[in-house]
Amino acid sequence: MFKRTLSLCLALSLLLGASSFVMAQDNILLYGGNQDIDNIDPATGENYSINAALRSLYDALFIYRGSETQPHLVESWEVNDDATVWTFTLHDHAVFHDGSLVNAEAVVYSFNRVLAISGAPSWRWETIADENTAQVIDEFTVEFTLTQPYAPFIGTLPQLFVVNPAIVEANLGDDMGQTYLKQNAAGSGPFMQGRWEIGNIYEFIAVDDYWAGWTGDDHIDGFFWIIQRDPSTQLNSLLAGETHIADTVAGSDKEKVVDSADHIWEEHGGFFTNTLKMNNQGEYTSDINLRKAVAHAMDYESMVAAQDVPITILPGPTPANFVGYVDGLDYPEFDLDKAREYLAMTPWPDGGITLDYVYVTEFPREEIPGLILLEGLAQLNIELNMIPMLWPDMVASCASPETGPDIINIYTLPPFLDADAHLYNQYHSAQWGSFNSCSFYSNARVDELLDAARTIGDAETRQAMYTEAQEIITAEQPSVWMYTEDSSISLNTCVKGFRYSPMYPLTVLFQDMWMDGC
Amino acid sequence: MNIRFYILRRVVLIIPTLIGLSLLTFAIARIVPGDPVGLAAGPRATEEIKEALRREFGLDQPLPVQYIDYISGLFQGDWGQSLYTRREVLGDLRAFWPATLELTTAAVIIATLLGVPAGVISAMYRNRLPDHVARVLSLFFVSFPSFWLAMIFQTWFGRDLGMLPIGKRLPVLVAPPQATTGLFLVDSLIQLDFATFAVSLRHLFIPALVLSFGAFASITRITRASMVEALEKDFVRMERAIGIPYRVIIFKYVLRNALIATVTVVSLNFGWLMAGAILIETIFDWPGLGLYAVEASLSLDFQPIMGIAVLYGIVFSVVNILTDIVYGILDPRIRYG
Repeated sequence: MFKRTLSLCLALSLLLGASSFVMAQDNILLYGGNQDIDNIDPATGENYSINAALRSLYDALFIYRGSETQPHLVESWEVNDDATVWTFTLHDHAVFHDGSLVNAEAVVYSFNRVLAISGAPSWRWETIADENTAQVIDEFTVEFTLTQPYAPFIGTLPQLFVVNPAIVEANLGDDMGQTYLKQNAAGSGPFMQGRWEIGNIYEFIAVDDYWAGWTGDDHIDGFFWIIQRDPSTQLNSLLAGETHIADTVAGSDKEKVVDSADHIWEEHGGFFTNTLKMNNQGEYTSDINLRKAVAHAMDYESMVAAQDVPITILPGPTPANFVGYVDGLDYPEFDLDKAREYLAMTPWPDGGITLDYVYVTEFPREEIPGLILLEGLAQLNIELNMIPMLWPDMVASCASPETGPDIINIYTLPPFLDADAHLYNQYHSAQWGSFNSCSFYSNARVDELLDAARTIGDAETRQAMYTEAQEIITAEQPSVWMYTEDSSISLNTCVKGFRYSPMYPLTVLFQDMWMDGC
Repeated sequence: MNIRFYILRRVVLIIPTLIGLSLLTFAIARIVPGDPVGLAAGPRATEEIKEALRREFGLDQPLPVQYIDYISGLFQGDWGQSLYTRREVLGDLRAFWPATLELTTAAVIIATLLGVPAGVISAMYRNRLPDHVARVLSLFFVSFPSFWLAMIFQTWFGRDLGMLPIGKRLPVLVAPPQATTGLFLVDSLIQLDFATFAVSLRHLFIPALVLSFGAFASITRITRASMVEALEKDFVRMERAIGIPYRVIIFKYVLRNALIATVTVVSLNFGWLMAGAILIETIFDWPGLGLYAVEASLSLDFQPIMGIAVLYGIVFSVVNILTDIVYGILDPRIRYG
């Protein structure tokens, strides 16, 4: 019996020991990603992992590199004075993976498909375009005539990925090709699909003669997006050499990455913005002095220590590293005496009221600010009623001022690099009903400025308008401006070409990456 | 009763069980707070888009109609479509279940291979050192959370010692064997691909071992208890009195008597481990049904949740039938009725 057991153990150890690990292969980048890529249809899919795939499989008219919006399929462009007619000339040598040309017809087809399907990415254009907006001028010239002036139009175009019409038409089905494109690419990007194991791994193979060439010193032969949902597994895989990049290693494990000679920890200020939106039409929070009192009762520094991710406190409505930021705004700091002064100017000078605070169920990052505020408001004899809620229900509650809670914790991410992307959807009264504008803020002058800034091409004039708008907004305190989350990503030092892009803080632009000594 | 008729009767009885299970799951899925359509459509979706989605998935119909549609589809092989990913549920179950089945089966085998001998030794050396060791080990494994042990084992054996992989069923750069059963060990053997078999076994070893710990504890304890009880029976005293070697008494007579209870625990553990593999699958990136279930639950995706419940219901029923058959083999006195 003992001999048999021993033999079995020996056989098992030999079997386990004999097969050498198949580890990283030269020039194939292994990326540990926290999220699945469950949809690669440019008309319906949009989140950080999907965007990483779309940017690899497709080309867009413009591309985000670092903090810049650069022309990509576009060679040159013109815009008329009121920013309604945009004319783009395309490169004449861009080709889809089947060898056919990426031309104006493909751009128009792709744009109209996005509008017709009306999926997640379409909101960028739904209010400024219709089915007649995009027109073919000649084979490589496309013109967009917007239904209203829109100066930040270019900022939206990195999300307009161009599909190959022939492939879509061949797989049209009864849903405009959505079923097919969900798992199959029809693009011209720097990579093609390889092994596609749903919920597990996704392989991307470099297109050797990629029409746009490769911007780095070299390029990878391909990469694997390996789904790793657990942050500790991401860390272990990275440190064991099973992956080259890990996108969501916990901040508490930063030292382990930094202490490892072969790895680096990239940490940058992001645009993922947290605000406490106060219902400006609500019973209590319609009072500007009460809003000011709430903003001064928030202990911002305690929040820095309490959150499990590195954060940067917001210096007003706009993050300091974002387009349109205004320096020197008089934004509130934690000061209970000031809070009491403002409270004294309200109909409830002694407090005695209860405010609802709504946050996402089981999401400590939103619960913690509430608990800190609860403590501050208790000093003012104001009770904070903590209400956890499922996200869809929170969104639904923002449908109207009547259903909007007193205070709601909302994360926002500006969808493109323009002041408009950050300010319009939060502070223009036309946006009421969306979760972004759950403060139900309304100021005619702010509306006027935000509308006017959309029609003007001149950057200085626009900035002056955004400055005035933000001064008014800051003075009226529609929200408590909390913080932006810093984003981090861990890389093996043999991976080159990383450039932080605040628009895609959790991932990398694979086409710019190469490997040296992996 | 003839065993064939008994099995047939049990198989037929699965149908009302599954109908009851699906009804219960359907009801629970519908009363959970939250708007799955809102979640699937995205925060910027208009009411028109949400309404179209409701129509497309039949969610605008009265609940009884929805349920009847679902149950009739189930019997025709249409297990519905995920609201969130739009993929066919049956296709997903086919893709993800083999990984969970392989992991669970390996864990049950490990737990049984270690747990039964541990229970036997423990009973043989009752209240002596081997017994104390086995009982402490059982207590340790049943007390420590499996996810914590999983992280510790992964960090030690995978990261620090580099002896075993961190996760997944195979290295990323190794293509899976051609799918016959979906079980990589079986498929690689069918293909006579011993290299893939060995690599697959390395990947399976730690997750299955960690998953087996809880089952090991319960199998050890129940085997010990049954053995102790059997050892006190008169027939054991008589066998010893007539000079039958102790080992023969233990393995030929006592263990066989004690195994009835052990088989029950093993079969129960099979079901529990399958349902409880979620955390182990998450930590070891095991692309199985557990992760699929978590994603579906978080996005309130009804159809996959119901599909998983029905599948687990079938598995539990089949395992119960097999257990009953094994009872008869172990103890011919048992009659099916």
